[in-house]
Amino acid sequence: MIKIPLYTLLLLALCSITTANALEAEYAGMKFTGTGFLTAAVGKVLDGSPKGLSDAGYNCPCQISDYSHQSVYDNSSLNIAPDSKLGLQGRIDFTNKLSLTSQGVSRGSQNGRPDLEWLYASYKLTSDTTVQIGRKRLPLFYFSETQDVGLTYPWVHLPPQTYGWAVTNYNGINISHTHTLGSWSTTLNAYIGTETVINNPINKIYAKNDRSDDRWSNIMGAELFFSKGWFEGRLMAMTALAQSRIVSGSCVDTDSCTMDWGQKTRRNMYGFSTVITPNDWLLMTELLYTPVFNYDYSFAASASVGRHFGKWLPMVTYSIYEETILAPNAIDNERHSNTSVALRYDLTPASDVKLQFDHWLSYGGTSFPSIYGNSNMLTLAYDLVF
Amino acid sequence: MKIIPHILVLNTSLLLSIATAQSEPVVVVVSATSSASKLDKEQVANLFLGKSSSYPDGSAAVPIEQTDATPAHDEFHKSITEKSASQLKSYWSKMIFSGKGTAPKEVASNAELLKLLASNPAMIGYIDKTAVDKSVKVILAP
Repeated sequence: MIKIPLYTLLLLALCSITTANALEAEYAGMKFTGTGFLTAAVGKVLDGSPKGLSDAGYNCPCQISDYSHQSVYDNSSLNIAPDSKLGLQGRIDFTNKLSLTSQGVSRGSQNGRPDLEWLYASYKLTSDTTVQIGRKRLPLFYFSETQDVGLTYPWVHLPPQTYGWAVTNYNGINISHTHTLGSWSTTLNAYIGTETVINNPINKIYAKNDRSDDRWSNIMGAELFFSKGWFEGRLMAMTALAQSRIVSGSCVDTDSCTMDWGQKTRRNMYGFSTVITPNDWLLMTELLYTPVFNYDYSFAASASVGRHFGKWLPMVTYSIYEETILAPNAIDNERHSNTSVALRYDLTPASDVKLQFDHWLSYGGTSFPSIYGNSNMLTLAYDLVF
Repeated sequence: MKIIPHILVLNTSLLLSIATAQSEPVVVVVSATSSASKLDKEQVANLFLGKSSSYPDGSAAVPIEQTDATPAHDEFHKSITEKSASQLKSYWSKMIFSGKGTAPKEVASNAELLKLLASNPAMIGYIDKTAVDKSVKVILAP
């Protein structure tokens, strides 16, 4: 029997909305805009190995769809929770230069618990330059900032091999500037900040009852977009001091745990992305190189090819993640790939349905493949923006 | 049975008139008092996708959209931004939910756009070619 939590019923009810518009209101010279997004997904791991109940409580074979938010599909009944989510955004424009934006998300993977994930003030210094301060999504990848908004990409879920980091948000300040060079359009966004993740969701993917916390301080990064016609490129670089701690004992159930943090380690990340859309074609690549000082380096990449046929968009994606631990004779290098075939159909400009088949293959290390080895998964999703 | 040819004729006429309406050429216009001069397709696309917010002379530009219910909307985006209504919605959703921009203000008709342009020389919009009057000047005819 399939258990359907209350939040799922809410998602399904919202699915009945086929046309929806943003809510707008004006009061005393201020403008309020309310928008939102929804993904209702269902899926199941069809077959694979290893089999059995994992330490994380999944009835494996199982497959990760989103590391950052503990989204895992298994082989039990149909899984509704992993990729389903509902988000609401409220924005107040105090003037045409100053605004305040907040965004909350309720995720199936987190039992529907609503989290305020964005809260920032935005001020336009000039028509081309904006400064923002508050809590935002860390822009590590091309789709990082809209990872929760399914309508903005062709897949049911983003390639896990590249979009797989525990720290997804940050508290800080960013400044962005757009500039036109001939027919090229460029946008530079630079940011600084810090973030602490209590009860890291990624750890729960491996062991349900373990807890670890992560902290990134002195985060500094920048991303540069450059586009012309059907070509768009993106360069990214980020550095941070990373710390973590394994939490145990009476500390496990409290956010105010005072256990000592581990040693600070320099973490650098470098990324390059392209989105190429000649005629009806859609070609996307994403590369990420992440060296961790004196410990390891990892390389992640994805490449996709798709083509629009009216409202249909079939797409094939291949993605890999390869870790290399620097210690001599290290054998536990996590390495895996995923090949996905996705089909998207636009119901309306603001809604779509997607079907996706994922073939996951682990080919390195010992710990990771003992839980997530090889598997085939089928997922179906409905996306809406309102 | 004699009524069938009439129905066919009527339906054919209706289809032809719809097809004609949908293929009405659009032009990109600014207020006749605007300092903006000719723009190319790429520059106009950048303005309407929020990738640029000023004219080549550095003055501020404010793009005005027509709603996606208007034939001009599809015709404009087909030839200038080369995005379908769904692709455009996906694009602006990415901008809005990432905090990187807001979609342009929308109007529902050529007449409404002409009225707005007359009030603000920074604004730029698109209308059916046949709707052009002396209050605006054409800066791109795709």
